[in-house]
Order: sequence, then structure tokens, then C-alpha cells
Amino acid sequence: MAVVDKQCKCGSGTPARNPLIPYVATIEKVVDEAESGSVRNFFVTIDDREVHDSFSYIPGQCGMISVLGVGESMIAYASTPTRPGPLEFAVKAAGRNTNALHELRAGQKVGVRGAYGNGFPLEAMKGKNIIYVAGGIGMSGLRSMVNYSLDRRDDFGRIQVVYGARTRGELCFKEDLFENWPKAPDTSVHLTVDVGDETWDGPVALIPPYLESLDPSPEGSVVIVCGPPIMIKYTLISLDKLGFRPEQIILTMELKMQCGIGICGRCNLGSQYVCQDGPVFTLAELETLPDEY
Amino acid sequence: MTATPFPTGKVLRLPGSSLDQLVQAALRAAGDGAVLYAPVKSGETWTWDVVAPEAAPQAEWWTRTVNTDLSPKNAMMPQTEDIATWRNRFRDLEIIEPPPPPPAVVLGLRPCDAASFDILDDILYDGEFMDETYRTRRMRTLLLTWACARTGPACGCDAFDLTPAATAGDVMIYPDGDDLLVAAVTDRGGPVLDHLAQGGGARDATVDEMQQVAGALAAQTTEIGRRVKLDDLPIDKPGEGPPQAFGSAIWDDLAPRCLSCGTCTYVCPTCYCFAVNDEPRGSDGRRVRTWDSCQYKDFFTMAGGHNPRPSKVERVRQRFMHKLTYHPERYNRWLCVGCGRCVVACPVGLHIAEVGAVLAEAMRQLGPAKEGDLDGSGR
Repeated sequence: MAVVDKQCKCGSGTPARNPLIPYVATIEKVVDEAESGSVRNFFVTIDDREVHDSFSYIPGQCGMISVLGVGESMIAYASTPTRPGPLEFAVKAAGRNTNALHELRAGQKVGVRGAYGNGFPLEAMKGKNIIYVAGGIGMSGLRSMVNYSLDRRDDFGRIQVVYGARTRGELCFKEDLFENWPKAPDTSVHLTVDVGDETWDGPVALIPPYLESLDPSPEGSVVIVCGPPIMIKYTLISLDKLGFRPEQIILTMELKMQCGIGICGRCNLGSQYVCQDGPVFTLAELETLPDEY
Repeated sequence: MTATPFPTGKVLRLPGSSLDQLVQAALRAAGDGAVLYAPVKSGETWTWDVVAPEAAPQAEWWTRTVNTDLSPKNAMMPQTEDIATWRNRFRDLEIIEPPPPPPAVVLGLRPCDAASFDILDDILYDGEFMDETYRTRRMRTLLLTWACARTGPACGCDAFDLTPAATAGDVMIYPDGDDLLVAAVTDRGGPVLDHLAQGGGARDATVDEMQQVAGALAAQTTEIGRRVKLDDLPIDKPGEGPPQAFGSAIWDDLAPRCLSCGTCTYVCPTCYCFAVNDEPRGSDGRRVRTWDSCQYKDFFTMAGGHNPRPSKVERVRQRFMHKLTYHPERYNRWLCVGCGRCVVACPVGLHIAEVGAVLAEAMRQLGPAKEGDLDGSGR
């Protein structure tokens, strides 16, 4: 039980570095991802080039982005490791830090650290059809994985993106939704809105009934769900009706997080720490945890 | 969850009146610039702070006093600590790491408190990422553990698989009449005894006599330990079903009493949750971490306002289940050392060992989960 000094596993071969200290990073550009302007995507490069170039992550993992003087937010990477370049954080202004972030422009500095969490089970998903089901800003949690699966198209079966938002203006990653993804091979994009208007000629429906009307087959498929709690709740009921088993349903969780490394205690859920052991869980795994999220 | 055996290495006998020699030996072993943490009285409260060696209590203090009011966790995890400072926040941002803390000696922490650091190591030290400031302090701090000559009315170490003489820390000190028997526990504790032997005030003692003294101290029981048996607590197996005790009705009964004051977590040696806050000054500033509490209403509140634990029922359940079932499920030991501080501090008498006993009894009455019983709680 003697305490033996160890090196942190967070850096490859580098001396222990305090994982809570962010790297200085520069905002390269800011892109409005929704027509309403509510979601901004920050393209960020870590100033230490060596660190940036060796930065590794997989879809579903999260990073901490800081506005120094305001705070830090845990955000799923919206970029994919298959496309080297800036890290992307697509952020909706919801709290103090994300509101402050929305004020920042290209050229300004932020703090960045990560990558945290388990990410999507890429090996287990190989060869499977993937059905992505997202609600609202939940798309930012899936966009990395969608692009990853399109870049490694041969690794996966049929790809379906089912996405709903309150209005057309809230649909996030509009260029991907309307331009890029529909053109990809064996890929379909199904969009719906809660409230239609004169600019919208697609379906007007909530996600669960819309998903049921699409009648996706559970055969050889996995479904990944990300969205607000109420959408998840009813989507799970629909997936059960459609015949999906809990092992086929993958969710990416959100709880309050401040450290990202499993030590500040906020995201404790039963025996798990969501920031480290999650944020990605199958429904079968979640069913073994307290229903408290 | 079994106790660690007594030390078997070098043992020295030191008159209690020569305690200062042990302090000096430990400070030398800890290294240049080492500081001493010892019990200090602040108002009416015994707590821990850095003191000059001559200001540390005399040996009688440990005979007289069962334990300090606040735990010594601030020696490894200060209540407030800089994570980093920064300059020029938006244009030429520079993030600066604070200087490392000095080496330290903690004099005379009780076995329960010393064991709490072993528990914290599981979380802060042995995970994929390390709490770097905790790690640095842990590596540079020598823990001199003082076995208890008597137990107090709130003590309950023996309900949590420890004893009043449980082996923990780097050096064990066993009171034997007016003498102290000093034994090295870890490799880092060895040099403390080497320096002490050179000091001239101590003489050799045998492992046998030390173990006899230690054995007698360890055999003391507490009122709580005699009364409360936690063996029947439903510790879940990882990945097997939802936590059995989660749906128990006892949480609805206990929660209304709680005042959400958070003092239980404040005085607790094993509560480690912290908050991160920025303190800007113009375009410079510092990012600080401070102790926080799961009992506070907004501890779990997310941006946008959603709070998965909005009422006291969820928060009280979280504290007790984290300590008594969730943590043991993951690490195979309690997130509690039975120090009794929360028992004394709680204004409404929520008693962790008794809550454990009530929970165990409630689960016994329910019996094994029945077929079709969705959450296994019987409800």
C-alpha cells in the first residue's frame, strides 16, 4: 500500500502534466450552424503545434473549452479525427460560459483540454447499419460520428440520420443536412420539425412518431440517440415498439461536469462517473444504473 | 474489505516528552523546506494547519483528545487551491501553472484519517487521469499516524472495517504509557526512523512488544461498532441490475430531516467533490478549486437549468448510497472511515452508520428481488 509515484496516462511519454490546466488555443473561425444563429461552431487550434498535431480523440469523446474568467464547458467534439485540422466545438448558448463563448470571434483565445470519456464503441459498430436519432442541439453530439462513419463508409452498413428540431431555424449543421450527407452513398437524411412555417415543406412531427413512421429495421442495426431528456424518454418507447433491444441502443449522456477526469464528483451515477466511464452507454448498461439523469 | 496487518519493520521506543525529536526526524526525511501540519485550535475548533515545529501539541494532547473537529484532508487537498492563473485572456493568453507545494509532514493523524487517504487514492490517484496537485502533495507528504488510546462516543471505525490502531500512513505511533512506540509502515517511513535513531532520544524496541501494544489498542471497540453491523448492506455487483437500495422507502423518511447545510461533507475526510471557479481581475485572473458539497441544491444543476437531483430525497440518497453502496461496488471498500465527525456535526442527527443499519434492515425485510420486480426494490 506504499504510494508509488506514477506518470499520468494522459500524455504519451510526456512528464505528468496537470490535466486540469487547459492548453492555450486560438479560434480559427466561427460558423453559424443553424439558421436561427443559436448554435455556433468554434474551430479551434491548440497554439502548441506539437500538442495539436498529436491530439487524439474518437467520436463521442468530449473536450473542455474555457473562456478564461468565466468558466469551462464539457462539449462533445463536433469534428471527426478522420479529418485532421481544427477541433470543432458546436455550442448553443445555454449557460454562463456558453453565452460568453458566443461573444468570441476568430483570432481570440480560449483554453482547451481533453479528450475525455469513452467515445462510441467503434469496433462493436463495425459492419452494422447505423440509425442516428437526434433532437435539437443533440445533433452536435452525433455529428462527429456521422462524419466518421461516412469517411469510413465501407466499415458500416446503411446509414440513416433521423433529426428533429423545434423549427427549421434550429436544425443544426445545415450544410451537412441539406448538402453533404444526402449525397453520401447508401445514406438517407430524414428531417422533421415540431412547428412548420412557409419555408418548410418537410414533415411536421415529433421525433418518436416520425421515427416509428420510418419503420427502421432492428436487423443488423445499432441506433444512436442524443437529445433532450424528454425526447430520449419517448424515443426509447418507440424503439422498443420497433423491436430494438437495449443492447442495440446507444445513448450519449449528459450530467453536470466540472473536471472531466472523474474526480470532482458531479457526474457520479451509481458506481460510474459519466465523464470517464461514459458519456456513451448502451441502454442495457444504463438499465443497471440509477435512473437519475 | 480486510484490515492491513501491523508493521513488521524497525521499531523504536521514544519517551512522549521527546516527541519533538520525531518531528525533526520526519521533517528531515521529508526533505528541504518541509512544512509541518499539526492540530491547531481555531476559535473553539480543532483543525489542521501548517505550524512551526515548536507550536505543535505535546504528546499529552493525543491522550486527551479523541480527534480534531475538522479532518486533515486539507493537508492533501486544500479547501481552496489555484489550478492555474492566466494573463491577457483573449489576445496573448498565457496560462501559468502554480508552483509545486512544499514537502510536508502531518503529525499525529488518527488511523481513520490516515486510511481516508488510501481511499482517496483510489479515486484521485489510481484512475486513468490523476489529480496532479493531490498526487504531488501525496508524494511529498509523510503521514505520522497516531493510534488511539481510547475511542470517543461518535467513533465508529470498527463498523467500517478499521480499528483504533489500523495500519495506515507512513509511520505508526503507538502510545504505551508515557512512551511512544514508533514503527515504519512504508518505504518512505523508513528514513524517519533512521533519523530518529540518530537523534539519541529513542532506543530500539522489538516488533513483538510493538505488536502486543498495537494489538491491545486495535482490540478496542466502539459503541457504534458493537451495535451496527453493515454486513447485510446490499452492495451491488458491477453491471448487475439497478442499485437495489435506490428505490427504498427509507430515503423518503430520512430526507425531510436534512437541512442541506452540507456540514457532513465539509467535515468528512473522504468527501472529495470540488467546484471550479474563475476569479478574473481585468484581463488576468486565477482558476480555483474549492471543496463543494453534493448536498447543495445546485451542485448537479446543468446549464439550461435541468437538475437530476432536484430535491433532498435525491441528494440525501446520493450521499449515503455513494458512501455505502456505489463506492464499495466500484472499489470494494467503504467511502467512510467511521471517524464520526458528521455524526457530531449534523444538526438533525443523520447518522451514517445508523442509516446504513436502517438500510440493511429495510433490504432484509424486502428479501431477494422478486420475479417481475422492475428495479429489485420490491416497490
